[in-house]
Amino acid sequence: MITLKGLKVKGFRAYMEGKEFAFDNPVILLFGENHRGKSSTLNAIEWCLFGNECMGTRTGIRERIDWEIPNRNMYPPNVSVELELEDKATGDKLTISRRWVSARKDELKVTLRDGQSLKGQEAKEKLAQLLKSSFRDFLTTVYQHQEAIRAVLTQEPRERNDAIDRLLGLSDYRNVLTGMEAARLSAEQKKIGDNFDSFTGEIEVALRTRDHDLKDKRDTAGQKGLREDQLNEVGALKIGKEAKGQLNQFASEVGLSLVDLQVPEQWKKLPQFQEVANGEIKRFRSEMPDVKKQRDLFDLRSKITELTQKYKQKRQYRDSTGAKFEDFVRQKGDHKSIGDKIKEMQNRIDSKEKELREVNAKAPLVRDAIEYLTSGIRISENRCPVCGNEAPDLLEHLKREWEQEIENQVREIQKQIKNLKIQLKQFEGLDEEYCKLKESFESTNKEMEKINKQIGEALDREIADKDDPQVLLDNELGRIEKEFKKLEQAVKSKQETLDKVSILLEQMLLIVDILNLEEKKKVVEQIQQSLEYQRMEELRDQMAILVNDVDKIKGAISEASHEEAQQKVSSAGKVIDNYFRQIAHNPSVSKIEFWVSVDSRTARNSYEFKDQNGKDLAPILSQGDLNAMALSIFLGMACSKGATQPFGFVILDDPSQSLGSEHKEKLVEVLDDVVNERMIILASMDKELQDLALSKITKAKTKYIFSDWAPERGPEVRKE
Amino acid sequence: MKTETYERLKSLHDKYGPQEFGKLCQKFLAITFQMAGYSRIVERGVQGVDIDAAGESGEKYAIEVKTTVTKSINFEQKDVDGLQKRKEDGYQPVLAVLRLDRFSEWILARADEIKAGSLYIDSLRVYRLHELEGCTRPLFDKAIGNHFHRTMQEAQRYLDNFLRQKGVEVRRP
Repeated sequence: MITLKGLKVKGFRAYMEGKEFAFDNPVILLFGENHRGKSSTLNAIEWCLFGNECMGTRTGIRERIDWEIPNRNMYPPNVSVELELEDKATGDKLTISRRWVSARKDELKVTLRDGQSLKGQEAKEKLAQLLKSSFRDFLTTVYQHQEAIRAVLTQEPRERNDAIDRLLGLSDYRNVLTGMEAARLSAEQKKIGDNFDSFTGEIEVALRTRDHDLKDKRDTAGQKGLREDQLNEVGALKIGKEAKGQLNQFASEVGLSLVDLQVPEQWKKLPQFQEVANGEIKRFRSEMPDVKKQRDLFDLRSKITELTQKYKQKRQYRDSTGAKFEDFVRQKGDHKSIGDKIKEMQNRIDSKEKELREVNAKAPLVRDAIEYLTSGIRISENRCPVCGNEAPDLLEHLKREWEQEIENQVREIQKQIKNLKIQLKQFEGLDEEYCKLKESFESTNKEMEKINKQIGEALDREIADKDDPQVLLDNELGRIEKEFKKLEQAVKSKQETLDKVSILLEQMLLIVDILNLEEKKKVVEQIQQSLEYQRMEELRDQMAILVNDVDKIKGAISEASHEEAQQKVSSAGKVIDNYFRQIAHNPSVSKIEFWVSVDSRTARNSYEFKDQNGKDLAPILSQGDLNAMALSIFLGMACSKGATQPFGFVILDDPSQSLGSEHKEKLVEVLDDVVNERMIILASMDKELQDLALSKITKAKTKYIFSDWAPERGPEVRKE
Repeated sequence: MKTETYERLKSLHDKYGPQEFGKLCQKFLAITFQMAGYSRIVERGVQGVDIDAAGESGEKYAIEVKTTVTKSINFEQKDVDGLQKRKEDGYQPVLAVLRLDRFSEWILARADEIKAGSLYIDSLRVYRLHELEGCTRPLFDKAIGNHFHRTMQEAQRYLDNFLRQKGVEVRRP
């Protein structure tokens, strides 16, 4: 069992200057207010013994996560802690010193009694031999951390169980179990199963769609006259051959040649075969001789029909033009008679114009004489201005002649001439009309000649005047219709043969569709045979094995944890009971039994505290009781005879938190008991506890007062 | 399992329902073992382990058959006890599970360590008898192929008659 003899600290956390502590009595008291360096002193012991093991998250102490070793005000850092130890069993003395190098590195030196210094691996091995336990054990049985105590104070059973596991040094088990559970392997296994099911579901939907299509195709195949036993590769190829045979026969029958059409050996190539065969069918349909003839006849019929129409129109036009012309001649005369009339009119106009000229020759004389006689010239109105002879009432006579004879005569002749001219114009119009009608009539005759020529060409014969083209055309149309009917029958029969081949090809393609769909369905089987699927199966097997193995490991860990908890509880149980009753001093509890079982749901240790009547204590324990419980467990573990721990000291850091005066007094009584087994190093700011420790602990004490702390020099400590 | 086998099993399931389907599968599995050359086979429609199959070379299997459409099965204590009893007679306890699913196959699992409860089928993979599965799976496809149509018409009666013809002891309630 190792006891502490002395401590030298420099540059460690709160320390700047080097300080020395002598652990020369069974009780070492570190008294002082908060932030004076007490905890740094205790931490220095830990660090010297365990180095980086007492830092970081793995310690389970929250404040250790970003723990700083060197004092922040010291630059460059010069950190060293030296512990003087004595092995009580052998009386062997040695010195452990640890020097900080960096956040991840320190140097350990072990100096043996004979002055031999061990460094590096040798030093580590020597220290390990000496300590014979882990930092975890140190935490649970030597150094009472407030954080561990506080965790027990919770009323939440799971958290309290966790805290007690920590007090018993079993949290590693719990952490491993938690880590394993965090992997959620069973859930992952189910997720893999779910993902696979989802994949299967998608395939199922695709297959259902294909099944639906397949059923449709099979129904159609039945409707198209295919039997069930034909819906296979052999059936498809057989139909392909039959189609080819029929095409060959058809081609030779109609005198056409078939392209090099080969029925493939594999059904998958049948669509290409069908494409070529369909091309040939299309070609045969348009190129077979009867169809060609039919087409020629059709052209001829169209031509004859067109000519018939044209002929009818032209003849009708010519007839109407001829009738008009004849009517005109009959009513108005022909070109000669109209010409005669025009000549006659012309002569009459000439004659009248001559007459007018004669009348007009006398008229100027009369008019001039009248003008002369009425001009005012001093002549007698009765004397002729020409001959000078006297003529009674000459002027009157001239005026009367002018008015009654000449003027009327001229007017009448002019009127006649005018009428004659109108008539002349009418006759000229008639002549013009005659010419137009004649020309039109002659033109329609020419058109008739032209169409007759076309008809002749179409009918391949001369059309004589005595022929009736209409009848000839009708006869030709009749002949064409007859031939048409004959050809139609022949073509229909041949088209039907080709239709049958087309149907065969359609049936063949339908079977190909069915085979394709069936093949797609078979892809599912190929999936199962694929390497990827096999690999996935192996992985699912491996996953199942992993889950099973992990479950077994979890079971084993849980069992080991439970066994160790039971062992510790049974060896320390009596001491814990004794200490708890002493510290808590609860009048209703005369006995406390500490039970550990395995929670069937979480596979974790579950702790129960029962009173003398076997009743659960948890619901009636106060915070102070729970604190007392935690201290009892710690001290019980520290002093348990069953615990094979090598440390001859316990470290208590401010243990009186949450304790009342009575609890404190009782705690000191317990410590007075503990000190019989272990050296006690007690740090406290609690004046009441300090006084109680000084007055009630019956063993010799060394007291260090931490009175002040300054950044530049660290804590001010004096020994009393 | 072949697509065709799955389709046929589905038809049987759809026609007869889950309970009768389970019994039919049990008989198909008995036929499978008969086809695999197991000479002494007992198929039970009564209480007890569903199938006993013993081969000439000494291998003896006591098989509890479970069929389901879900991802888990109920392995009851009476099943465990039944298998344990057969184990005492020298039979290897086997839990045979078939999930009616497109990609499912029979899982033939050593049942010595399997505890009663609701079992996630994938968790049984740990105990798979790979060799036995490899030998029986294709024969099961064949058995379904051979007897599907008659089973669709006559169900258990046909399979019982067939099993008897093949020398399988069929115990009916």
